[in-house]
Amino acid sequence: MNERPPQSKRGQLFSLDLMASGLGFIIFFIFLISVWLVLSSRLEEKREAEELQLQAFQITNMLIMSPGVPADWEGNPAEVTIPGLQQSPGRLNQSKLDAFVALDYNQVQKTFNIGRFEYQFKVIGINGSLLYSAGIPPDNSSTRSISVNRWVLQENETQQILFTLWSRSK
Amino acid sequence: MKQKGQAGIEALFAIGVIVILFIGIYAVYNDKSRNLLAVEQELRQREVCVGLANDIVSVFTLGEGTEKTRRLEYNVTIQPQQQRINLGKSFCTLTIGLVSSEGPVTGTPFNIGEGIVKIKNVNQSVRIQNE
Repeated sequence: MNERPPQSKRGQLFSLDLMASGLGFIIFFIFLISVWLVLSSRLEEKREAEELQLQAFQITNMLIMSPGVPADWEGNPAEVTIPGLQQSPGRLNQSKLDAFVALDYNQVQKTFNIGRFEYQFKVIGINGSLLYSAGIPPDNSSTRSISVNRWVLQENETQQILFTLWSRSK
Repeated sequence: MKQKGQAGIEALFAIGVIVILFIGIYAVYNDKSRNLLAVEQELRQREVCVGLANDIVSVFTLGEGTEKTRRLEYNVTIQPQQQRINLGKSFCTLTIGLVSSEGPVTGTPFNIGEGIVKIKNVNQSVRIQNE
């Protein structure tokens, strides 16, 4: 009868099973950390998107529903505190619209506190023709954009106001 | 006798590795858990902040005399000049700077305590005060 030498017992504790399960656990743990990091970055992106959306809605509403501050700001656009285009509820004032379109881009950004973003303002006629445009349209560097659409009466014609707020890649 | 001693050392080594692994995992878990709580609180603060900013802009947009009350769960600092609301570690921006706590708009930062606040449009600026 041949007996196996007793030295074969030495390696039993470091079995392949133990090493495989340890490795499997580490890989799973690394996967969990990766998921965490991806979710964190998505949360940050969602936060920026929400901010963009909120600002775009607030600015569009302010433009359409307020005459601006001072109320006759179109007389001296350089001193405008808050631009507004309203003549009466649902109607835009032609002089205010002309003055807003001619306003300096950086001045509008500063007034609405949207220096981190870019904007474009458009007035489109009922037949789809572009009547007024101001600001910068989204380009290839745009990472996210929100457009807010409102219908107004201007010079007794229904027109569409389109305010687009967008962010550039950093 | 000699072989039994070797197995004991190897077992101790294996247990040591497992303990070190678990300590590492616990440290990471603890860190992420604290991060999660901080993010949760920041999101809650931001929600309050954005809600207040929205109320301020709405009250301004709706014109003279518009009034609204709101319950604030945190103390806030409003910086009219920077068009910004600070709330704990969180902040949000305002699209208007015509905000004051009393009297005319000066642009000086002011604090609003938690509780019920009244937001009112006075002379085309927004006045916000604790009730």
